[in-house]
Amino acid sequence: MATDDPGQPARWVPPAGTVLALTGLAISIYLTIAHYTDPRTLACPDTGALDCAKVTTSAESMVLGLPVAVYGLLFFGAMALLNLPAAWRRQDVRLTVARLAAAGVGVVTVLYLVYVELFRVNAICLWCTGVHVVVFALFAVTLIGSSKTLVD
Amino acid sequence: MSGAKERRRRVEEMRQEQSRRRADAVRRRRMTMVGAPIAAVVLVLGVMVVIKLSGTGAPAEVPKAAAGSTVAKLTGVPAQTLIKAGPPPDGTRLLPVSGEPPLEQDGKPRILYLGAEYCPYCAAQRWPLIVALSRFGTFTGLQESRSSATDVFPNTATFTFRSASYASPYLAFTAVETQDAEGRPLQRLNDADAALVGKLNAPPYTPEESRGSIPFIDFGNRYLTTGASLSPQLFDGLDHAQIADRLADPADAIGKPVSGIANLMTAGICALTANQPADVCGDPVVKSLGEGLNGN
Repeated sequence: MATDDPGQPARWVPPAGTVLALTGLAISIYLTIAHYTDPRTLACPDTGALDCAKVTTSAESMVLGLPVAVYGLLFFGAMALLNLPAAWRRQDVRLTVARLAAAGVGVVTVLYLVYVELFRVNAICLWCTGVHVVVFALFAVTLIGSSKTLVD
Repeated sequence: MSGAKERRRRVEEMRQEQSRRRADAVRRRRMTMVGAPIAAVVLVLGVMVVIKLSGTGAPAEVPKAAAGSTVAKLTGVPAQTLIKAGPPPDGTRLLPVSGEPPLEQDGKPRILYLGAEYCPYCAAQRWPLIVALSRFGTFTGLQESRSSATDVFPNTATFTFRSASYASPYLAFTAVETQDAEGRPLQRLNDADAALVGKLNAPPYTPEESRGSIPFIDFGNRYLTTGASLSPQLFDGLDHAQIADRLADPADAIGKPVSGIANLMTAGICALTANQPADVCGDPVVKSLGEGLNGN
């Protein structure tokens, strides 16, 4: 986990963060396109409990007039920039705090969305779950990478 | 000399010990900073899943996937059958809504349905609603269900919207089934829709004593229906496939009212979609019913 450079994150952290952010970005682009074209085109099983279209066309899928997928797109775009290796190399505390805050907002939003899927929509969207896993992993990577900068 | 050496060795050992303790403390702080938030997130997720699995989930009577042939008959009533069925039974109407902004989603008019699986009137009302909506789009995930076994008109055969989704280039559809067939909580309106229903499912649109009753359908904030447009008694003793079969006959005691009410709903929807699609909204019965709506 540690490197020889004081304050620098482990070597695997920047590429892991970048890959996760880009993965999330790709899924968000897919969900956004599906939202604005035809939600039925989502490659997703429809077995009652698992139903992407039901989740992505529910009233809860819109926030302030925009689909949740668009917010995901903005989130992962910002996280991709904050996780660039060059951004990690800069030991700027403001950057570290911004990255941590964004990851925190992301994971809290995921908890809310999981609640909505389980208790309001009563269906699970596998693509959304993929996004949730990526956000959680990004949160963990950000914490691990930032711990050295903030604690040392 | 040996005393001085011994002192230096002890000082060196103390320094190493302090250094080790500092490193341990830093390691502990890092572990806490990383582990505590992750553990908190995992805990919250775990609690939600456990509540879902042990609480309101797993109802005794779980709706089952509808037979493809039954759904096909329900969602594909031929246009000629609907035309022959004509207008709805006397007294059936869509109530015009005034003073509300159009109800929309993604720039499309939105229809909001509120009902419950136990409710026999909702069970009856879903039949014409599905027929009408199927003229504008496609349902997936419709499941066969029955109304409560202990309420009036027990075990009325119907389809629940709980896991259904609807896609249409012309309109959006939101369905909320608040309780399952045994009255347990199922789905909830979001806050905005709950406020809207609270406002419209009340006088002057319904008598005070019927305030908040279901089924309630809001057609884009332009028209609404409260209660069932046909009696659940019609479906007594019939299963889903038998009812679906009878929809093909425009003179049948079930086929005629279901198609007639679907025609009225279709006319209401056409008023929202600027008469699109033309082949549906140009149907002579729908056109005539639409003119009647305008005269409301």
